[in-house]
Amino acid sequence: MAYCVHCGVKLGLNEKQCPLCHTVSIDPHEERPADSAPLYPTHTPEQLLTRSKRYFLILFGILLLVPALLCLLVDLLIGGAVTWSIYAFTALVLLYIAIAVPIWVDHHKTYFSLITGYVCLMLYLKMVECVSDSGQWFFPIVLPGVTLLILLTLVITHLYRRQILGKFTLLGAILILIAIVCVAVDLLLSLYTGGHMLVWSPFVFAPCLFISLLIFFINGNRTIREEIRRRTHF
Amino acid sequence: MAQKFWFKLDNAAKLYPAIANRSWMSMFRLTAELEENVDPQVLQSALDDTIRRFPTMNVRLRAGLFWYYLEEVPARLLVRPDEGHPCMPFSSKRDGSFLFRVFYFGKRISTEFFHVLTDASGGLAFLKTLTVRYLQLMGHDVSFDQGALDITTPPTEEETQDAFRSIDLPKVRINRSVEKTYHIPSTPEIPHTLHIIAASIPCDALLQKAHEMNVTLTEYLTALILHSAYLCQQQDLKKHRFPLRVSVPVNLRSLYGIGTMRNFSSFVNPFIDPRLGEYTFEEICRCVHNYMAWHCTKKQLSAAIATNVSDEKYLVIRLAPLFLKNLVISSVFRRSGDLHFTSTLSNIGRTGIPAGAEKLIRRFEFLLGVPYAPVCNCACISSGNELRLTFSRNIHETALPRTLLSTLVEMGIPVTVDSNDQEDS
Repeated sequence: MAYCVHCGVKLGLNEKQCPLCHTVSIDPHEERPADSAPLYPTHTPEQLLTRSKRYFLILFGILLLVPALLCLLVDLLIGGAVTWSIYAFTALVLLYIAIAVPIWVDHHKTYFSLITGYVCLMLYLKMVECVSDSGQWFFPIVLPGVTLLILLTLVITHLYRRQILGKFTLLGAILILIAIVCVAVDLLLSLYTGGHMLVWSPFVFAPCLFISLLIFFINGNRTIREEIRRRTHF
Repeated sequence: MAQKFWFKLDNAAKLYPAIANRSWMSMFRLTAELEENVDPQVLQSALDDTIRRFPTMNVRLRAGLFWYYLEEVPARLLVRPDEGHPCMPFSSKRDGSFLFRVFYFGKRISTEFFHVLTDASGGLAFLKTLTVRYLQLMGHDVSFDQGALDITTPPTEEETQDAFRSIDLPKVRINRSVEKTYHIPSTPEIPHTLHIIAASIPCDALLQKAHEMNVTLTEYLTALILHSAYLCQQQDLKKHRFPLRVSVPVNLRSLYGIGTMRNFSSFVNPFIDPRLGEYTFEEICRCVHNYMAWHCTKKQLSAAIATNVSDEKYLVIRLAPLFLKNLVISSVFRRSGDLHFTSTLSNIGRTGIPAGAEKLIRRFEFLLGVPYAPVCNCACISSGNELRLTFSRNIHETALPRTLLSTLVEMGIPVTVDSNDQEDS
């Protein structure tokens, strides 16, 4: 029998790794008895939740498919061609994908929801650009702008969930990130409209930067921190 | 048409149908591990013989206008190969109307019970009787003793009675409110997942440590759980310092001298409050010991039972339709229930192996079902010199069992662990 080098417990005959800390422990000289069978079943039957998920997704799909097809049908019957209904149809299909994929995924649901929602939104906007014939606005403005926003959301979510930073430091970091994204979006808009100047972002950037620097300063200064605590009892 | 045998739910059982749903039920599993592989056909015959001796097990749950009741099932329960994770909720498709199951897997005979039928002591009596009958049919000379009931004798009135109604209770109500309790940070698994870590520990070594602290084995194990949870709390970055509380079921049979096969247990909830300061392990042992000494007396337990029993006697509650009762009970349980405990420790205690089966039964194992809250629960049973401590959890993290078992190893007590997570390796 092998011992876990980390926990010190003796591992059962069928354990390839320590069930407590997942450290792999192999005894090369171990002689397994011929009749050593696993103590517990290793086969996991289909989980009820998976079935429930499947039923929900089928039902939800049907509920969205009915109005989508109805739109197409009405459009075809009245106008004789697919015109406005393509917007409704695509929106409903992409909405289904944006909701169904995160439900189906078991781990990292928040990140999956954000990324799937982002991809679906991008596809929809690209479709609108192609169908509406309203000029080239997707690649110069929408794609980089929304990508920046989603990256900002992902970074903030990750920092918050992982608790990498303390509460105050996290607040400071979020303000700095928001300030940077605002400047980037302002630049994108200026470039798209033909200008080369930052228009509104400095008014956001300056106070955000000031407040975050203040937060970092207070957080790093023990005397001021204690003084605030003494006066506010926080 | 012959009148079917039926009976009311006992006081403890009334809670369980109301809070059960398709994805969660209060369940527990008892296993007998033999020295040889189990023969399913012989096990089926043994079950057919055994089930007649336990009329309170061969029942289904029926809904009345005001209360649930249990009614005899005319069908035959079939043994099944064990698969997947244990203690999954009952479904009419798989289990018919029965409220317990019998599995075989390799050398193991397992029984799983919905708590509405019985508690661990009643379940163990059933498993022992089934195992003895199985060994007899296999040609071994094994006798019905050490808790196994003789299937040649009819069931007694004592075995089928509602013990909560047959004891004298004081006319008092005690305060049952419990303060918010600390839970170890965890990542909940999807429903229908139950990770098991089973540890084999030499009984004598553990008893010696317990006696050094002047506490009983249950108190020592409770203190170990509290201490492990306390260490986890110390490392918790969120710095929550809520009290740590362990729910410990108490078997009332020996206390009241009643040998019912139905539910007859109560709970005590020893705790420590880290907001008051730091705790050493010795201090935790003393806290648990003093708490148990005060609460595990007949008077205190009677007061707790009287409070529970008096609830169901109110005219308003009695006249409320069943769906309304279910609604209220389940909503109260969702807000309190398991959420008020850091963990649960259910210790059946030392159980003897029936005469003649000493070399045929390797060990017994006891497992609590999926907890309602995302926590790690413990169950233990000892036979011979082996204490089998089983952790069941519906969370990913192994912080509590890891800390607890590592502490035992550091004390010089050898620990051997098994799990049902081999497929993940």
